[in-house]
Amino acid sequence: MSDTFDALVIGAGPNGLAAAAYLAQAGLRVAVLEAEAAAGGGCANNLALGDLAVPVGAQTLYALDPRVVKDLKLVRRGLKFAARDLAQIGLRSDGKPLALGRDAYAAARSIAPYSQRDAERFVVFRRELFAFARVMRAMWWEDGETESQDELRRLAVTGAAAFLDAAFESEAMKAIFAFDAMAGGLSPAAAGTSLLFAWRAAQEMCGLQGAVAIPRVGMAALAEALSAAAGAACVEIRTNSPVARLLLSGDAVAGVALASGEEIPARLVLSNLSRRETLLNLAPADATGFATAKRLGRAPEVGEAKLVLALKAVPGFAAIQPAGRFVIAERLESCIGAHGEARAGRLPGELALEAVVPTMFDPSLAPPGVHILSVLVRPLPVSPEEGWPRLASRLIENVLVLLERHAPGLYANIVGLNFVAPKPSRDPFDVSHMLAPWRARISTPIGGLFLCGEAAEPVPALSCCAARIAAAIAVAHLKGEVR
Amino acid sequence: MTGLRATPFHGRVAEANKLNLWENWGGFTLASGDPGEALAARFGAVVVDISWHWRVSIRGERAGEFVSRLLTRDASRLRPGEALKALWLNDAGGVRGSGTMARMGAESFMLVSTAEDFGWIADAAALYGVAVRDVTAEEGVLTLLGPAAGKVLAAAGLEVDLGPLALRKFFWRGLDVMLSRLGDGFELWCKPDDALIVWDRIFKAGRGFALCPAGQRALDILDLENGAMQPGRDFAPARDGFSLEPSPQSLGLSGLVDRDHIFNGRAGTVGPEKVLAGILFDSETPAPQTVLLRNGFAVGHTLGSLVSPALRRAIALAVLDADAAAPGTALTAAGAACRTCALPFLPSPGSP
Amino acid sequence: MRYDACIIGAGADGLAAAATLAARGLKVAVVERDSRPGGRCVTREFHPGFRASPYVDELAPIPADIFWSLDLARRGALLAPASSSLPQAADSLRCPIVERVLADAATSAKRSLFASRAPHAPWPGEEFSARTLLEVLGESSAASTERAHLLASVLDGRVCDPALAGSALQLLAGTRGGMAAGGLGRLGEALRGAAEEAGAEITCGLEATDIKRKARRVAGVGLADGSEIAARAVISTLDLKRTFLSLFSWSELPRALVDRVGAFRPVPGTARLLVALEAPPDPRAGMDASTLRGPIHVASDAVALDDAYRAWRRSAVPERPPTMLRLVSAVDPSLAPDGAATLTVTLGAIPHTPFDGAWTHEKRDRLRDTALAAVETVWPGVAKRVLGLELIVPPDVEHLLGVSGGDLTGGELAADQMLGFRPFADCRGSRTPVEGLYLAGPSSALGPLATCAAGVAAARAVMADFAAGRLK
Repeated sequence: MSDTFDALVIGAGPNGLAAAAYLAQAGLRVAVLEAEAAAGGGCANNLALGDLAVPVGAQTLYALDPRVVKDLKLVRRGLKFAARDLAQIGLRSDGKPLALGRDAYAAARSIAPYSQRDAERFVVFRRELFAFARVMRAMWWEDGETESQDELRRLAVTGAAAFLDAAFESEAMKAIFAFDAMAGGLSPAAAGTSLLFAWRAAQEMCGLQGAVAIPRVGMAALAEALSAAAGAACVEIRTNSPVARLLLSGDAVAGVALASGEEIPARLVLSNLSRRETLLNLAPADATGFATAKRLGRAPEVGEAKLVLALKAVPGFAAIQPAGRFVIAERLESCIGAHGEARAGRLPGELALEAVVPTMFDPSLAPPGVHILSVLVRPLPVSPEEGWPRLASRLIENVLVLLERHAPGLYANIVGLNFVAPKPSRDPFDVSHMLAPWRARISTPIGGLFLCGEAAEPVPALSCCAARIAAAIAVAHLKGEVR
Repeated sequence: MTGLRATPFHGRVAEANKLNLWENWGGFTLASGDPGEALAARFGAVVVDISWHWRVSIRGERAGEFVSRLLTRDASRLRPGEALKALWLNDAGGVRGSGTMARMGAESFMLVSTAEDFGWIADAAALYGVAVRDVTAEEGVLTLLGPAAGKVLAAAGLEVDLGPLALRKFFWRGLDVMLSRLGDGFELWCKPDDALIVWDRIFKAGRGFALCPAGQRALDILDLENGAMQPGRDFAPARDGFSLEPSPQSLGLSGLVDRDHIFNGRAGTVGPEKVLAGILFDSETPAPQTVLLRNGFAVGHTLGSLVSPALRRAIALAVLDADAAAPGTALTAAGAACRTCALPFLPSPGSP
Repeated sequence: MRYDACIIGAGADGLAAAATLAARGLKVAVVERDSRPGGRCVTREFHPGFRASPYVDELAPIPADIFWSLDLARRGALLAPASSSLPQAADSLRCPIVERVLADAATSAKRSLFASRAPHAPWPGEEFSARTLLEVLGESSAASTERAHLLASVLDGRVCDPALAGSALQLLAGTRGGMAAGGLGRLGEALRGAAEEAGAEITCGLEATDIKRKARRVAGVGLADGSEIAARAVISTLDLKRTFLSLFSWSELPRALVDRVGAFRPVPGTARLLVALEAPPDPRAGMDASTLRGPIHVASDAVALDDAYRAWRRSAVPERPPTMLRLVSAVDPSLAPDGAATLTVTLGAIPHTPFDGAWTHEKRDRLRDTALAAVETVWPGVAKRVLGLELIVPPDVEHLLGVSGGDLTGGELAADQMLGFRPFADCRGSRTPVEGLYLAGPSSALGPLATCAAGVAAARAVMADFAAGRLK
């Protein structure tokens, strides 16, 4: 026999915890149902790396909603940052690295060897991008309309490749943005992908626009702080409670049924899972419309994988100043071709990597003398023809060769290695998702069921903004208001 | 049973009639076809089954005299193998029909028209002791239209050297056929039993020349684009013996009337002259038998009207007052804007 | 003598603009670099007795009102009905888009500081900017030959990745306006007849080298022989890059304009092979007369199309380029001598300059052999009947027609370069940021959609601006 709850949250990842905390702060009785043994989701240290454990999901924080940080008092609850403003460093085989930090003029100096014109243009480029991004916050942080409609209209149809080709002339500058242009499995040549840059630039970490941060004690600190916030608001977190299906009464949700058979009634259910998983696996077959079900049935074709290495010594490129995240991509054009190959189910010949060495900023993450190198790889097929176990070994080999080229001796220093393949459970992503109103991303055809996780964000990334807005919409729904 | 008859080419026409649209004229069931075939006639060549055209054979000692009196132009001066186009009128001068009269021999003629008038002609012929016989069912006739029509016939083995309005008989690899140029393009006449063989031979020869079969709709459009008037579609022929309407001048057909010749109904061929002109619409809606207005005043009316695929707009033949018939005059027909233009709308497909 | 308008380029757009303006009584001069007017609308005798239109067999459809008002059919331009049907959604969008551009052209608004705040009316067809071609064609991700065929017939030799957002705009570009009896040259002659009869003066054999300005406004066109045509307005039917980067010196244009023009992307991708056959190919089982008259896409599958696209992106010549055959003499027998046949082969995804250097004779021969091999798969034994050939690759198109990069479409049909963004987002209805200069031609909004429409739109813009007193 279970108590009655006003709202249930499926999934105790950071978004689920944040949503639960908001709902509880609004006066509801909330329970979070987590299938695993511990809360934390992608932030929890679930990936074994030799004797260590590292998170499965994101390796940096660049989109955490400042309002969530403030409302849930996360700083007081233990979320401190070891690195506040990582620069974007492009490692190249044809010259010195490009370091694009907050100081635009220093960045220009590192660009100058590649192209003087690009160096001059970069200052203006960043200033204009950031200004446009700030205006777009009206749309991405609230549910409002942005003022710069013309600019938005133009960027909404311009592909990232076209945008970068128009802005810069050197391959180095175009390639350094290639990794970010492939977020969500999109091709840099697809129309509208230039908005991905604007979205990244619209975010704010630690009071700095467009900053990339690494929490002290690792991503687990975020999960801990959010759990503490949820706990302080009297949210009940139940682990080892996988949800098997939703219970409906008519067109609206009436609760959930766990895999164990236990049924928990509730009038609101917020799901931290993707739209596909929620509507196709948990909801009854006839609850979603036919066309929606068909569209959701398509798994995403291109995704990213994560490779983590434990090293005996710091890799060579970690010495570059300013400290930052390392982007390894030779040419933007080859990323476009690589995306096509990934779409066809093959391992691309050229890859784009983003690598961070979190132990540079927070040595407590690993025993002394051991360093963690965390690498995200794009673009990769989600369901390759030969299957992931076979493809993984080839991919790892290619990535290691690529890393060795920029950090000689790295191969010999490896003491631990692990790999996470791309997830087929994510929703397929396209640019119209970024421009849809929040309500459209959060609501589902089932009354009382809302999405609060990454699937409801404009761009798939760890943000908790969707959790905040979903909680507000859910509370309003419960109170019978129609917004 | 509808009582409709099939032309000798029906078997092949039915296969070719992909749209499966049929119409009937003269008691025969005919394939309508697609209007786009009229455009195909301007590229390569098309074949249309015109076996349904009404044909009478006129034979007798006084046939020449009869024919001369019957038509508005003197056909007795034709030599065998020649033809002319003319009208025949009722006693008061109203047009009963229009067609082509060909001289087949010293005492034998053939009249071809799209609208039949057998009874009246038979009665008239009886006064001269001339035998008139409806021979429509005795032949199959195909017409070949298009810039490559001559080349198709040459490839089929029929070396053509015919002038306009001429006929000639051939022995064509075992078949008795006749070739003529009575209208646009060529006509090929054969016995009904030989019809399918003739069709197959023509199409085999036409393979390198983009030859397609076409239906009656295409033929109507080509006639209209050429400015040719058809009784039945364009005007209602006078069917009693004494009505004045329609008169040749009111149809703008005075060109087919020879004033110096003596023919039946000559007395009535005086009166105000109207001009036969073309009308181009600014839309694709045809407007047959509609009054034409200029600045609110009626200046004439349209006859037949169809959409021309080559011009991509609706066109019509019209009879207008002389002063309104200058090319380019803006008019309205049932509210739709249109303007006059000189005939023919487009040059005949057969001419280079 | 000062003309009211000088039109650069006597192609379909230039002649249509000239006819429209001259019919209203304006003094119009048309300047053409080639010895004959017509541009793409030419029929060339590439082998004694064998004729074909060298660049395309069919153009985009001509809007009906323009076809009527220029009286093209009665001047000898007879266009066969469209050869195949494509998704209706796109065809029915053409009319509203043409009307929208013509309406914009006819409104002469004074450009003000507040112009950018004016509400922006959405364009018909804008929803295609976010959708992929595959999605609109209604296919699933599974590969199939029919899907590849449909894709090939939509793309018609243009190169594009059909799975990317924005590729659905390819449906708006038309190449189904119908073949002309006697080849496209008849259309060119009909247009020339319309222009000359209306009173326009067409000068051939002289290239326009620059546009003269007086006080930021257009004053005339300078020609290659040093002479000058003074005009109140200039309509350029050259593509965007040629117009701005070769007819002006870069320093006299605002930097933003030069950047925008520089960022406009051409996508050269089509090569053509004209083949003279001594006899028509033997009919193949399953190919009836109407199939022979239409375009035949050589069996391509999704993998081949994908590989070809990727090869093109790398500037390599694909091994199996998307190939379309057209037995043009089966539609119009006058294009070949009696008993012979003319065949055109359109190859897609051919780069402008292969990555390993310019088009040498060997590379041309290899491409020619690839094309003939494709023809052989449809009609075995055809190669023995070849009497003569002519291969046209993108640099040839660039040289002969003067289009940047050899791209006949005038620029990539991507979401940021189509409809409201083609070519300038803030200039409406054929106008450009240069006062007195109007852009018709392939790089304008109507360029890829419809033939002659861009020229008529530019003419209407000129007339509207004259009436509003903006050009003295």
